[in-house]
Amino acid sequence: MSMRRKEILAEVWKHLFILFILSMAFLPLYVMLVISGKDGAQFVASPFKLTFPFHWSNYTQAWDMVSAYVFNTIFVCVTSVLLTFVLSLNAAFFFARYRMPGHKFLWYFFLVLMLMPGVANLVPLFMLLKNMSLLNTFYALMVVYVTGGQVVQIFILRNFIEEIPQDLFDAAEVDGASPFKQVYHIVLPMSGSVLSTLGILQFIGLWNDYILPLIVMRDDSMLTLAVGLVRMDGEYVKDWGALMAGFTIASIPMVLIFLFTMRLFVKGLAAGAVKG
Amino acid sequence: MAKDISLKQVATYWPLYFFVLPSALLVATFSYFPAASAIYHSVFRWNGNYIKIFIGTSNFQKSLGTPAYWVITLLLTMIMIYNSQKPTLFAKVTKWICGLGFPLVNLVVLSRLYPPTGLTPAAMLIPGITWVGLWLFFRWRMDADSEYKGVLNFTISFLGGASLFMALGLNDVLAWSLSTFMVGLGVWFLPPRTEKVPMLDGMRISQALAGVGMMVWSLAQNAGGEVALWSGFGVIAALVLANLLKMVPSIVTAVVINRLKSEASNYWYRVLFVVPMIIPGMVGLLIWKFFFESTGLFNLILRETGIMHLLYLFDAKTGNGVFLDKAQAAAMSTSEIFAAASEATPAWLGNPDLVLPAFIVWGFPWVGVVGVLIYLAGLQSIDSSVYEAADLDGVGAVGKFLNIELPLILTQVRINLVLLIIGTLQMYGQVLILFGDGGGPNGRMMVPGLLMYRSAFVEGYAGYACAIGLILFFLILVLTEINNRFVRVEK
Repeated sequence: MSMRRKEILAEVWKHLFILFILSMAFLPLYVMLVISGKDGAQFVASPFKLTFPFHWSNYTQAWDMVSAYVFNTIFVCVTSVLLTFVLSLNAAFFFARYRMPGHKFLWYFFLVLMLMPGVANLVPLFMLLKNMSLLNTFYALMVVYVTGGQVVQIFILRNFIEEIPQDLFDAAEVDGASPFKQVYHIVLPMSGSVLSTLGILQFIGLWNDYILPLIVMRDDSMLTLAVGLVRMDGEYVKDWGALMAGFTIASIPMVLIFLFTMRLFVKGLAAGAVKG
Repeated sequence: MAKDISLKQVATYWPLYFFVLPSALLVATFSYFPAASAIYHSVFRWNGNYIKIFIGTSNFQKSLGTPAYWVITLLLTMIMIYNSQKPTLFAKVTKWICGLGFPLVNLVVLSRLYPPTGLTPAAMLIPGITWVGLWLFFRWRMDADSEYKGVLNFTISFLGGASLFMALGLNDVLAWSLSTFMVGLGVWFLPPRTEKVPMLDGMRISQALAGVGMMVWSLAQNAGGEVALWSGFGVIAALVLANLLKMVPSIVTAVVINRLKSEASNYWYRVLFVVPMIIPGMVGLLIWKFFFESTGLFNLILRETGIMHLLYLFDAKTGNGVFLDKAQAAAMSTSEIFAAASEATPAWLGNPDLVLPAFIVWGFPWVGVVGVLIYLAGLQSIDSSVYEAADLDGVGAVGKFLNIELPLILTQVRINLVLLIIGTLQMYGQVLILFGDGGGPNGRMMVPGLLMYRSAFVEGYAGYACAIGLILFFLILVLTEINNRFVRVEK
C-alpha cells in the first residue's frame, strides 16, 4: 500500500516540476497578452494583472505601426525558405545519387563553409552588397539568407536522400524520368516532414535576424520586423499597451505556421532531422 | 548506392552539374569572396571606402600586442594538437613541453609581477607548501577504482590552489599560472597510463590545454593588445560557463516528461512546450528587457520571494557595495538592510556590476523547446522494462539518469555543447539590441563581435574590424579542431 502511495507521490512531484517550468516559460506570453489590452492608467495601476475593459484599440494602433514590417518580413522569409529548398534539394540529390568527377572537391567546398563563422565576413559582405548596389533592397537579405541556409540543409537532405530505396529511382529511370523529374516526383513528396522541420527552423532564425537587416536597410518602410520592433522599443516615451499589442501581432504569423505544420515538425524532430 | 560516373562519361552526364551549380556560385560569391576579402583587407587601413593604405600587421598588433609571443604559442599549440593522441616519443615530448612548458613560460613572462607588494618572505613558504600538498593529494587520491575522481581532483586542486594564491595577494594571472603549473606537475608525475586508470591520459591532455589557455590569457593581459577585446573574451568565458549550466534544465525537463507514467499527459506537455516557442526570439528579448526595468516584474518577484533580501544581506556583509553604499552598509543592522531590500529597485541593465548577472538570468528557466524535443526523441527508445529492471535492482532516480538516460542523449548533449560554445563566441546581436553599440554601462558587455561591429560601422576602421573577425574565426577553428580531436562523438 505504501509503495503505491509513494509511486503516486513521485508522479505528483514530476507534474509539479513540469508545471513550474511551463509556467515560467509561459510568463512572457502572459505578460505580453495582458499588457496589450491596457491603456496608460491601467498600466500604472496594475501592470501585471488582467484588467477590464480590454482595449482592443491598442491593436488597431499597433497594426498601423507594425503591419509594413510584418509584410516585409513574411515576404523575405517565405521567399528565402522556398528558394533554399529548391537549391538544397537539387544539390543534395546531386551529392546523394551521383559520383561525378570533382564530386569530392564540391563536397568539401560546402563542408568548409560549416566552419566559417559569419562574424568575420560581415564587413566585406556589406561592402560587396554595396558594390552590387543591393543595399536597401530585399534581394540583399534573400541572397545572404539562401546562401547561409542551404549549407546545413544540403548536409541533412543528402543523408535523407541516400536512405531512399534505390528501386524507386531505378523504376523512374526505366520509365524515362530525367534526374530533374526524379527530384520533384520522388524526393520531394517523400521529404515532407524533414523539409518542414528544416524550413521552420530556418524561418524562425530569419524571423529574428537583426544584424543584417540593420546594416542593409535604410528606409523605414523597408525594415524587417526585428529591426522595426527594436526601433519602436527604443522610443523614449512608450505606450506599453500598443507596444505589447505590436509584439503580439509580430508573433501571430509564427502561430499560424505552427498550427499548420506542428504535426510534421514534431515528427521531423523525432525522425532526427536535426541530429546533425 | 550512388552512381559512379567516370571522366569519359562526363560528356553525356554533364548537365548533372547544373544541380549543384547555383548553390556553388552563391556560396562562392557571398561566403568565400567576403572571407577572402576579409583576409586581404586585414592588412590595410581601410575605412570601407576610398581610404586604403597598406599597413602590414599593424591591425593585428593593435589588437593582440607583441606578435612574437603569439606566433610561438600558436605553433606549439598546433604541434601539440596534432600529436596529442599518438603514442610516439615526439608526441610525448610535445605534450610535456605544452603541459609544463606553457605555464613555465607564462611564469617567466609574468615574473616581473613577483613579488607582489605586501607579501612577506615568510608567507612565500605557503606556495611551497601548497605545491607539496597538491602533489600528495593527487598521489593519494588516484587509485585503481577511481575513474572520474581524477578529473574532479584536477579541477578542485586547480581552483583551490588559485584561490589560495589570490588570497595571498598575488596578481590573478600569476596565481592561476602558478596553480596550473603545480597541478600540472602533479598530473605529469603520476604513473603512466594503465588499464586500471584510463582517465590519466585524458587528464594530461586537459592539463596541456589548461596550460595553453593560461598562456593565452597572460599574453592577452601582458602583451599590450587592445584592452576592450580581451575583457570581451572574459565576458564570453563567463557566458560560456553560464550557458553550460543553462543546458541542465532542458535535459532535466526532457527526462522528467519521459518518465511520466501517463501517455496522455506526456503528449500534452510536449504540445504545451511548443507554445512558448511561438514568441519570436526578438519579442522575447524585448519582453525580458521590460522585466528588468527598475520597476519591472523581475524586481517585484525578487522582493516577493525574499531573494532580494538575501542579495542585500550578502552584499552588505561582504562589502561589495553593489546595491548599498559600502560605508552605509557597514553601519546598518540586519533589519535595516531588509527594510532597504523590501523597497529596492536596482536598475539591472544600468549598473555595471549587475549587467552580466542580468544577462545570465535572461530567459529563465532556459528551457530550449527544440532542445527538449530532440532529447525526448532520443529518450523515447527506452523500453519500460528497462526501468522495471532498474527498480528491481534498487537503482535510484539519479542512478537511472546516469546509467540509462544520459548515455542515450550524450551525443546530442555534446553536439549542443560545441554549438553553444561556438555560438557564444560569435554572439553580439543581443548585446547590440539591449545596450547599443557602446556595450552597456562602462562598456562592460563589449564582446569581441560587438567591438568588430563598432570598429567597422561606427568608427570606420573596417580593416581593423576584419582583423578582429579573423582572430575570432581562428579561435573558432582551433576550438572545432580541439573538439574533433578530444571530444569524440560516436555516431
